[in-house]
Amino acid sequence: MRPAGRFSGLRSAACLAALLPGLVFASDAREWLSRMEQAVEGLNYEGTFVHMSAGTMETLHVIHRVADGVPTERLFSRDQPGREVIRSGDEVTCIFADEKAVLVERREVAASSPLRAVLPQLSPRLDQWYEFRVMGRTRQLGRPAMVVEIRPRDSDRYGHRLWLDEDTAMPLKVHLVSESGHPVEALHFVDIELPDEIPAERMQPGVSTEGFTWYRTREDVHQHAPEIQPSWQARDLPPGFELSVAHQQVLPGSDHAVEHLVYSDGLASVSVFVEPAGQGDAGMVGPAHIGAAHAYSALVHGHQVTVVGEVPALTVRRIALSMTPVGRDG
Amino acid sequence: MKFTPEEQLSALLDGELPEIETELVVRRSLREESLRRTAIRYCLIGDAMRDELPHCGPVDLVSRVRSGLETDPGPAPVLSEPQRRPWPRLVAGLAVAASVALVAVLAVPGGGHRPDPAPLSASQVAAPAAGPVYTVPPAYTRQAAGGPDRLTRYYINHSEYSTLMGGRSALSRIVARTPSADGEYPAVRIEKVNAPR
Repeated sequence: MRPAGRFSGLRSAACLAALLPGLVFASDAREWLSRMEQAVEGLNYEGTFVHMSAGTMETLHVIHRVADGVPTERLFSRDQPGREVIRSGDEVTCIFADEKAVLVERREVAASSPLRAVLPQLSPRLDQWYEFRVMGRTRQLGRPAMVVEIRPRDSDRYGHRLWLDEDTAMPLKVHLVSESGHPVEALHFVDIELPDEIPAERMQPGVSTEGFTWYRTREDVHQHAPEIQPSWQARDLPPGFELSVAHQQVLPGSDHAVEHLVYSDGLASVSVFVEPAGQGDAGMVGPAHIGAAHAYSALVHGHQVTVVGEVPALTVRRIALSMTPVGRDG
Repeated sequence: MKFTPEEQLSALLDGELPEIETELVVRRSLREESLRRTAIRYCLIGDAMRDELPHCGPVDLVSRVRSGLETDPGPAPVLSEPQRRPWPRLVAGLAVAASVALVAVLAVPGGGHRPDPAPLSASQVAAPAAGPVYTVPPAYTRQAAGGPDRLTRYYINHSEYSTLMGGRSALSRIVARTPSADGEYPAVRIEKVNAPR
């Protein structure tokens, strides 16, 4: 039997022991997550946080503004000036000042939609793959906070541990956790403010992009990728993962279409990108990662196949090595 | 009694700063880079104490915390004035306890504090001990037309399909992706493997 969730620390443990007579029902965890979703999308806030994963640490700042019900978000590095991401309407603008490049990604949603895919309604089927628990109360950034855990039941996926502000449900600390409950990536706010209003000028990039090269999706291709009947399939998916999106799209700065499949277990998702090998650049083979987001690339039947996701390395590898054209045995 | 900004910060992070002072400290930390750095350092010491940092292997964790302690000038003089400077003393206590805990990690095979050690950590999977691992030269994944490399473009595109919790982390990784002096990306590694058939 797997031990109960570990939340070590002397004062934290004492606090939990005093306040937590037993694990609270999963439905409470879902209510907290629902509140969090509304807070993250619907509130004005601005704060500095530290992003940590194996061997790297970066200080970032986020400004989230909601005006007339439409959210806009600006995320930038405090350690590397000129690294910014601005999400507004149906566009995601990534500024890489050190490369003098701006990449604009079109989002497949209406301008008034939430900036992030909402929690997938936390359907009951998720209980097969995750355990939802309210771990108890503690304090974070000097405020009462509730610790909520989404613990994966196997090693095919990661879960989350969240420290939510008790008043607003804003996540003050977020961990991506493995099956054993150990953090593999962390996001810690060190200060956060929730002002009633944020001036629009605060959402402007902090760096001039004059002279930068802009990479956009060509105007003559579909901005919103049509759903397609996939021509590739995964023959070996971890339990619970199903095809949720299949479309063809042209990535910004590229001149050819990529088949993009998304497989999800309802919470974790992985993307599979398939394009003809040899187009644009050299092929990629093998694993890679940025933080705890893993990737695995393979050359299959003359195509470059790359699987990307916030899942363990073995999961992206397993999916990548099972990709085959529909109608072929592999 | 007047506390220093660092003492107020420590009290804030412990949830023990009077509300009237909280806003002042937060605003000051937004203005002052050094105070913000101190906040991060205190947070990390506390998190290391509570074993809430991402696992990078015991040696890595020890070196990180030691490095943090070496650059932390605050706690040392406080021990001689226990009545007047309670907050940095608490941080010092956390730091000492953290280093003791870390020694324990090294001393107890398998990590005595972890009842359910992961059979394989993410970092170990990403950079396995066996087999050659090397950093991807930018040209390897760089688009012929220039701009961010193909893998980065995949990551950016995929972030649109991450859930609420994963979305911010996904873009944070893109922003934090750090090129080294020679233009390579240490965070992006690739392992030589046999091409699948």
